[in-house]
Amino acid sequence: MRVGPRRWRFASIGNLWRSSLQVRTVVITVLLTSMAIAVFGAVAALSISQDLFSSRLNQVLSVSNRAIAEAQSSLSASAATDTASIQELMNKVLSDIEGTTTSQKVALLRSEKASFGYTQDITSGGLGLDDLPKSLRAAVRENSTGLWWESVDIGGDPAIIVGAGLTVQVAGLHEVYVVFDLSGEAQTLAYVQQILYVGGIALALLLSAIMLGVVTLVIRPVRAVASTSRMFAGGDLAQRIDVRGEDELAVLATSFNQMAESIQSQIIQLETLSTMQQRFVSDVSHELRTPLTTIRLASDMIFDGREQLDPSYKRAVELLHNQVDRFELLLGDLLEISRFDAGAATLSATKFELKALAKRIVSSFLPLAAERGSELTLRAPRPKCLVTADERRIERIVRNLIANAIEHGDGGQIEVWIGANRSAVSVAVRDHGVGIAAVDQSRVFDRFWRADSSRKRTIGGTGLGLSIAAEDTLLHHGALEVWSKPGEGSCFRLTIPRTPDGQITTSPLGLPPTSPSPQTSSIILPKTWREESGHDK
Amino acid sequence: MASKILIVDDDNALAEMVGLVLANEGYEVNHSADGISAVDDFATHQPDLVLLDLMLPGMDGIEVCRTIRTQSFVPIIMLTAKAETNDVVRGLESGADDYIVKPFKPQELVARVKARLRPAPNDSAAQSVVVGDITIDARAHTATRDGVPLSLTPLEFSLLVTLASNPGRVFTREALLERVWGYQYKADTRLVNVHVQRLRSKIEHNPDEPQIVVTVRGVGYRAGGG
Repeated sequence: MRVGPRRWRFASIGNLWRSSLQVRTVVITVLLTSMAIAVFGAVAALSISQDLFSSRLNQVLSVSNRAIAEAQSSLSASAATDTASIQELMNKVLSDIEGTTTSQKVALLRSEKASFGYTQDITSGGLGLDDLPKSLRAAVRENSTGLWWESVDIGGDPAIIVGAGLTVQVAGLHEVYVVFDLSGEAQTLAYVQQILYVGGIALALLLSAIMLGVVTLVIRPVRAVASTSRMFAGGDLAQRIDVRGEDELAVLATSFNQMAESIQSQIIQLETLSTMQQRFVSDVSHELRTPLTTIRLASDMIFDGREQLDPSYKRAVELLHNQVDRFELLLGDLLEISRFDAGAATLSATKFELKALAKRIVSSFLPLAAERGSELTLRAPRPKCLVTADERRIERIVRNLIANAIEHGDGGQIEVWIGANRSAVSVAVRDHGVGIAAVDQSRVFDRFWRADSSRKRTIGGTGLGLSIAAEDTLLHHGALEVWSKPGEGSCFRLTIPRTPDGQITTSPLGLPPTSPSPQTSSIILPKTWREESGHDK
Repeated sequence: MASKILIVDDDNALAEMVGLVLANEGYEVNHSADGISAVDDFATHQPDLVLLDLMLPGMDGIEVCRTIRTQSFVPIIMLTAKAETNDVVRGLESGADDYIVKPFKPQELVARVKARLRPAPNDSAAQSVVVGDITIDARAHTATRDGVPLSLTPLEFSLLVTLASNPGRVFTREALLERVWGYQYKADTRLVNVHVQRLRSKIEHNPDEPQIVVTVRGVGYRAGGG
């Protein structure tokens, strides 16, 4: 079932409604003005139709009044007494009424009180007795004087029927009904209504267009403010709004610009401060190098001749020698960190085989591990793990992780895992030492941070190793993660994309890695350099 | 006779200390504290090797290096506090043979100095080698094109001889560092790149399309047929 596009369209309309002030304003205005125009049109149409009707009614009544009065007077003046002449008189009266009222449809009917036999009901223009409303006839019969009218519908056309009583000599009381056609008025009304419709719609469209224009005019500077502030928020601090005129929008733009100015100057100030700080660290590190070189040369020279010294001098120069080494390491790391802080660190990526690198590093650590009673093993998959990365930095990260594992591994087993999948390669270093408390796990990458400040450093790291490792990882767009359980040890897992511009989908190793996974099929034991292949069979 | 070494460094303590280390090794050491006096001292003492700090008051190390190179081919080793900057490449391009990053160990300093003062390796039995239209006389340490001698520094000469003596063989940058510079461990391959460029600018007809020292992409360099 495909519901996507439809839903998308709804979503996009809803989105437009929410996001565009212009759309919202125009739509609301058009709806409200349309409603107002519709109400106005309806009221106008109603009052016009009433007006048309009442003026026609007045005219009809006055004409009828005159015609009936004339008819009555000519009936009263007549001396006719026989049936034929009375009927003739009646016909004449009928045609007189027709002449006076210009109505085509007139009826002259015998009343119930009429004397029998003198007259017959006569009608003109095809007017039938059924067309006369009973209520009107009843009213005329009951009141022989006065005019009575009713609004009716004859053959689909609106009409007014006026009725009255007429007294005929000898023949008695009769009723006269005159039908006045209203189709002319109906046409006028229809025409007026049509004009109201067309005018209303035209007016609504015109108003919409004007509204759109006005809103666009007002919204344009607002949009400019919105887009400028968005770019400003996006980091382009040089963005400013053009100020035009002196209206409210100009005030808004001016104060926005002032705000932007002050933010920009503050940020520049902070940046300058931070740059100065970084420059200072970098300069200090460099400035320290020349005297350190002198100290190093001097200490080495004395150290070389230490056998000729008194035991206490000899010990002193040994300490001096060691600490100069340590100082140099610290200075090197400090310089490295300042390079990261200054954004001066660059990736010099080459293609290399990760397993070979890991093998080399692990074997170089074997003596130190053995000294601490730790067994150091490398577990790697059989296929080659080719990766394009900065080999020097990857080596530095892995060295650091292994050195930490030996330092904190309490002489337990240490495993170095290598993993690879399509998108990424991974190195995980697992120790079985004291582990790191949960609260401290997020702080292990902090500069100069120590898990236990009372714990002495034995291998002599600088306290910047993991910070540098984290920065090196960041430079590769990789991830350096830590897992630890107090009492069970820790695991640091480095995952980097296969190529510097690649994306990691998943890490090829678990955290901590579990053995033996189908990928990690062979286990290399560097102690004897014996490659085991039993696990994948 | 002891080799003479000129140390150019504005830090007197370091210069004196380096002097002590080198004197212990039997070298005769002189010291200049700034760039301008370094050029004068170079003319006066005629040293066999120059240790040159890059950041100097007056005239900077790059300038000093260039000036010395106009007069002499003696080995120049730069001393620098910033290995990662372009200063190193600029220094090498201006004619320095090698560089040492501060802080360095005395053994490292002595090893580099010895490597530069050692006569260029002559592992070729042949007296003369021809590469392209260049004739190299290994004994006399001269390279000539149509009888006209080419002015090469000992290091450039050594680089050319190493490549030309093994025609067709591809040398990695690491192998060249070991054979020409005398490094036993991993060093900065920028040294090789810069010196190959300098060598090409002197011996190639068109340095942009080298025929004599040919780059083998992803591996290193070899001598071309010319």
